[in-house]
Amino acid sequence: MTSAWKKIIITASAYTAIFIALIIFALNPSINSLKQHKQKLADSQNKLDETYLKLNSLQKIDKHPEEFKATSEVVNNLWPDNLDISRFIVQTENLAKTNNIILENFSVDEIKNTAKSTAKDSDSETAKSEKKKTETGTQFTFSMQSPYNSTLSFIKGMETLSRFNSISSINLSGNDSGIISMRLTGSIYYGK
Amino acid sequence: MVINLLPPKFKQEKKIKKSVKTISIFLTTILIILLILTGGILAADYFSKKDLDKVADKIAEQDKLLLRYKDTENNIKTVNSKLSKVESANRSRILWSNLLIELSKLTPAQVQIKTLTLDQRTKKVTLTGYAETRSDIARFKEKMSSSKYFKNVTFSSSVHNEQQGNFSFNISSEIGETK
Repeated sequence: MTSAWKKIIITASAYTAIFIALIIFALNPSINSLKQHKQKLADSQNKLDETYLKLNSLQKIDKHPEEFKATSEVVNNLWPDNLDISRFIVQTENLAKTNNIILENFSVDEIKNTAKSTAKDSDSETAKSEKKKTETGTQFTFSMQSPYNSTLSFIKGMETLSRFNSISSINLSGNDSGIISMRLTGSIYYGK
Repeated sequence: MVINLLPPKFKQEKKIKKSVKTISIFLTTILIILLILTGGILAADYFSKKDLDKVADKIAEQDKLLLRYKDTENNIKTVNSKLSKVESANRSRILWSNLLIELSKLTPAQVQIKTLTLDQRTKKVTLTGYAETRSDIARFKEKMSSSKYFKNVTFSSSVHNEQQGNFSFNISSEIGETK
């Protein structure tokens, strides 16, 4: 082998080593780093946009607190933080009065967890998994005697009461004078 | 006419030297291109990191602002949580008034309901009553069966009351649609 050929081989080898070193130690890491930073930047930008939106919404709500207060009151009436049985009694008594009904018996059971059910959340990511929900509530029972129309109107009123409740059972029995005796059992809920 | 007087060995060496020079130039060009490319990528990486820092600063700034509205945010979370609980409980709720209205529509004049039991847990409706004839009971049962509010309507028994001259009956069914 002549010295010229040796020179060619050495030069080519040197260049190849430089190329490989450049690709492995400089080009490839910098491409990966750039990719990572771009991805992080996109994620951060999304987070920033979300934060902007959240902040704007909060600022709007803070500017008009009365609107949110009204909504909050409605929701707190539907589902108060505490049992608040007194308000429920007043509401049902008023409803009964409106329908010319006297509630003969009104009892409230011990506080317990009710409405233990498996619910599917269809409009979110959690739709994939079923989650167990346990709502804190208490059971109530009424009994009364009234004409059919008043009874029906009372039941309708219970269904649209500002305190959310669900009637679990109704026992009706009629007599010849057209008066219906009703025993109604249901649940009211509370908690944050 | 050109006469090359160089000996063949020198001629060969000259040719190889020329080739080495060409290859070197070619490889150097590639090396320069690679270096420029690496430099460009490093610069882009540097600027994207700077942008990332800027966005992170902005997020931190917004987070600080958000802290001012922490109470409002917590209140919203509570309201939303309660609303989702109401929604969940409402899904399993039965609107009994719809069922009672439907039942009163279905009940013929010749039929009188004496007792009615509605139970959400067992999803059952049981009723007892009186009718003038057994045909009235059968018609009532058929009407209930055709209603979306009742399903699997079962006629249990009917007894003739000699004193009152009517027939007492028992009907049970499962609760169908109520919303």
